[in-house]
Amino acid sequence: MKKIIRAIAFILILAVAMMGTYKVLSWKDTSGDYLSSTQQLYATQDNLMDVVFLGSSHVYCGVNPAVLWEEHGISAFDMAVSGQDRDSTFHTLKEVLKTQSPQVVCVDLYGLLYEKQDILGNVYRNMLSMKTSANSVELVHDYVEKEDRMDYILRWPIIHTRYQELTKYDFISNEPSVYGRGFVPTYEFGESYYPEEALACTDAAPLDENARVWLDEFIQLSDEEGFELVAFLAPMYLDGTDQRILNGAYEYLGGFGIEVIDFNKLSAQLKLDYQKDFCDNSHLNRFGADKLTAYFGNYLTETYDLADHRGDSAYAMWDENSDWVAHQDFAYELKKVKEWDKYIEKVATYDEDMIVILSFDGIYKESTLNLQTAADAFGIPKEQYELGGKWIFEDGECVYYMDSTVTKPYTRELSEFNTLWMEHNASSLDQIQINGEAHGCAYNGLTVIVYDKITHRVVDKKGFF
Amino acid sequence: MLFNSFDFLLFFPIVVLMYFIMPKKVRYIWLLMSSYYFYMCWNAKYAILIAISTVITWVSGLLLSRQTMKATKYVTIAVSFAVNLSILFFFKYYDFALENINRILSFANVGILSNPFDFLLPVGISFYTFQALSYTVDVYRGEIKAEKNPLRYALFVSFFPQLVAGPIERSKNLLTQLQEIHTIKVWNYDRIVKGLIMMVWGLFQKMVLADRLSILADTVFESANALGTVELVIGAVAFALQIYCDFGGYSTIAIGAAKVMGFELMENFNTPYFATGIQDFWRRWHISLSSWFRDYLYIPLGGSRCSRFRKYCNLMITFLVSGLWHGAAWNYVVWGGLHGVYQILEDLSKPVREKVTAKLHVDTKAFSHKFGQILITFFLTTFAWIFFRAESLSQAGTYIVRMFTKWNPWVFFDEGLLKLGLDKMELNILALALAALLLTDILQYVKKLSLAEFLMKQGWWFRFAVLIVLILSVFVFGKYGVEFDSAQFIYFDF
Repeated sequence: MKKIIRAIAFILILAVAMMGTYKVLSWKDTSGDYLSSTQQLYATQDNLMDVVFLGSSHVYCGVNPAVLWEEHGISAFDMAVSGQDRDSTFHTLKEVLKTQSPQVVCVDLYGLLYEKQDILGNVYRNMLSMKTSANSVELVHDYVEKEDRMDYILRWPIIHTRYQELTKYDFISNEPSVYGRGFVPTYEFGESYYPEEALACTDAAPLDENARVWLDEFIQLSDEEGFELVAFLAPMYLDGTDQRILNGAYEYLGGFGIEVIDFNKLSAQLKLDYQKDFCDNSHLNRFGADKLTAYFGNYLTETYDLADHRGDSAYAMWDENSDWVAHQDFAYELKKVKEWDKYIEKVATYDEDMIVILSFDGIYKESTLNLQTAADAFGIPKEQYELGGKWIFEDGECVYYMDSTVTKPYTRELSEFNTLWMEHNASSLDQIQINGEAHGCAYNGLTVIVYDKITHRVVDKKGFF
Repeated sequence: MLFNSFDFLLFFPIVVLMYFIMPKKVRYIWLLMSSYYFYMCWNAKYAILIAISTVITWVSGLLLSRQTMKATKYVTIAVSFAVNLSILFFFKYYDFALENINRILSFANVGILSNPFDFLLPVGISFYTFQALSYTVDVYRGEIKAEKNPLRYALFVSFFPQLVAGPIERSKNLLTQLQEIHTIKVWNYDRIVKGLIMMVWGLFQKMVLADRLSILADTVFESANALGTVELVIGAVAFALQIYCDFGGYSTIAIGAAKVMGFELMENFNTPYFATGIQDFWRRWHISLSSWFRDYLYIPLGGSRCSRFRKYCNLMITFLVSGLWHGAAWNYVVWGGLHGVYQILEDLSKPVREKVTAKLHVDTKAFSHKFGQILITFFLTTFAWIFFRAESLSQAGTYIVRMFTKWNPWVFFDEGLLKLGLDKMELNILALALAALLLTDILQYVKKLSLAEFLMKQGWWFRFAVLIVLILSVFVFGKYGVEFDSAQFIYFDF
């Protein structure tokens, strides 16, 4: 009996150890913030999403749920994954429907233009981010070649080599709401082109069998689950061959009375600027996304009876998402500022969920810049400025001052996993560190470090002399 | 089906559970079916070859047990050997023989012979053929009685834990246990745990050590023409350790798997790299094969009870055949021959060595003396492994010439060693795993305890901790999965 108990205890301890190890090694979106939209889905309470957008990078770059929330109070979510193939799109929707009852599901038809993903990382993103269930196994069965299926179902054979790339974010969990509702704003500008050839093409290619089955699956699911199906194509550069395939799908869907929105055809109405609204030739940037989403907002409110959830505490994740997008915008704007006085003004006036660290070091008073104005902008008393030192401002308020005569180092927890360490040493840029990483920027002058309390990261840092 | 595959992870527990709950009388039939399924996972057709070998040796055994005349016994055993060795020759050595005949013919400007056959080498053919033949000889010598039950005998030839890469079992050991299968107490906690520990340790040796070492060895051997002394020495040592962990790992899993089911297989490795001489090495390396050659070739040739010259001839024949057993290529023959030469020189130099140590007042019991002997033996065996691993004799030649002439110590300092396929983290993992191997070998050498025996003597918490670390190491640091083409165990090719 004793031996049986020991054997059971061993199996239990081993199971716990294996689960703990799996959690660390499990697939995470290492190219992003170690958080996938699937995790955000799992972190969302049941039955909150009214509109779900499905698709690949064209969706998470092009549809900004914060706009729908702020303008219309629509609780929308981008259930988008890089290179989301057809099988993944369908099974991802099934995963969404396990906990959510959206009124409208908008499916990007870009998946019709390819069968399989070329990028292995994207295959992993789609196959490994769902919780293991009959649905995830079905997805693997539908997409993965027979000889590799067990590797994808068991996952260990794929993820175990991640021990070579583990970081802090494999051991700690990010709060899913921090990283929004699936939207990935990009602040880059890449030239795109008006898809003239595609738009001139009006004929349709016959729909291939796989594509037809895929569309039928969505139509059937929409009937069974009672959501409205909308098909769309985010603005992107296409050639005539691709357009013919899409036209075939549009015709087929039209036969079932399903709305199809080809945003390439609406570029004038959206006032899309092919120089400024794209981050590359087929993805909208942050600014293009707002234009597309504004159209979607009007379309959805005009076509469907969607409730305005603003002010409802159950939808706090959408409020947090808006804050997060605003922080991204702030970071982008801040990095763009060239003039030092405007930079200081911008940092000093933004007081929501930010920590600002200032350090006046060395012969800062001899600076050709009038650094006194920076101190004034933050409300630093003249006598403190004269003495020099380090200041910590949290949400606009000075929460700590370390004058230049203090010799002892100072430590402060910025978050559960980020520790600030400071000491006076004008000759070293190591005098301000976060988790051991030096952040000092000026030996003789002013260092400004802006830390975002939402994303727990240093947004920007600059030195002035 | 590889031991380090998902298939085996499913296969083994199912086979064992069914074996445990089955009526005693039919257990051997279940094991026979499982063994054939196990083998047929590689190539179903080649199960016919085992079946032929089984039928011939079983019938030979029965005939031998009934025959009284020496001449008829001779004929029976000769037929058994001829048929079995012909199959082995055809599948393993035909290409090699043809290639050499063609080489000779080309010297005489005679047209070359083409090969009408294109067969894959049946996995484990050398192992089960030798096992089956040893049974015939044992019956012939009257050392065991012939097995009358064909299915039980078929299980002896095909018993899945040791079917494809040994240990090459003797009928006196395994067949006897199979005959007594109904007396095995299947639910024996300590025995099962011990077997499972052996299996985990074997998997650790194969997946964490051998497959990691193989990256190093393969990189060096593939680009030997461009590398210097340091890398080439590292490559040779890496292969020496790889083949030990690979084959030793397989044997440990095989012995452990059999133990879980209540069978004791013979020991196959006993800290071979702690050998103090070449003879000692062969008492510790692939024990089941070296003792097979000793019992069924070396001793019948006359062994050492003859003139010194004859003894050396017997030694050379045994080792050359042993080399050829390992593979149908001249580099294996040279490897075997080298070990034969080593042994002859060891024997010839014995009086001189004894005189020198006596004159220099060397304490032969001192650690330093033994350690020196171990180092020299390791150097000699590692040198011979170069021939074993090389693709050809000419590659081995190039490797050795460069190893002794391209001295490049700077690679220790300019990160040149990181270009051999393993980055810093991988080298650290390898170093830790080798330290674990060294510890277990020291345990075996000094305390005469295997890791499983040692752990069974410890407190449960310690056993749990070591086992969990080993299992997690296999799952995390083991080489398997989509980005790794899991190598077969090296000895499957022999």
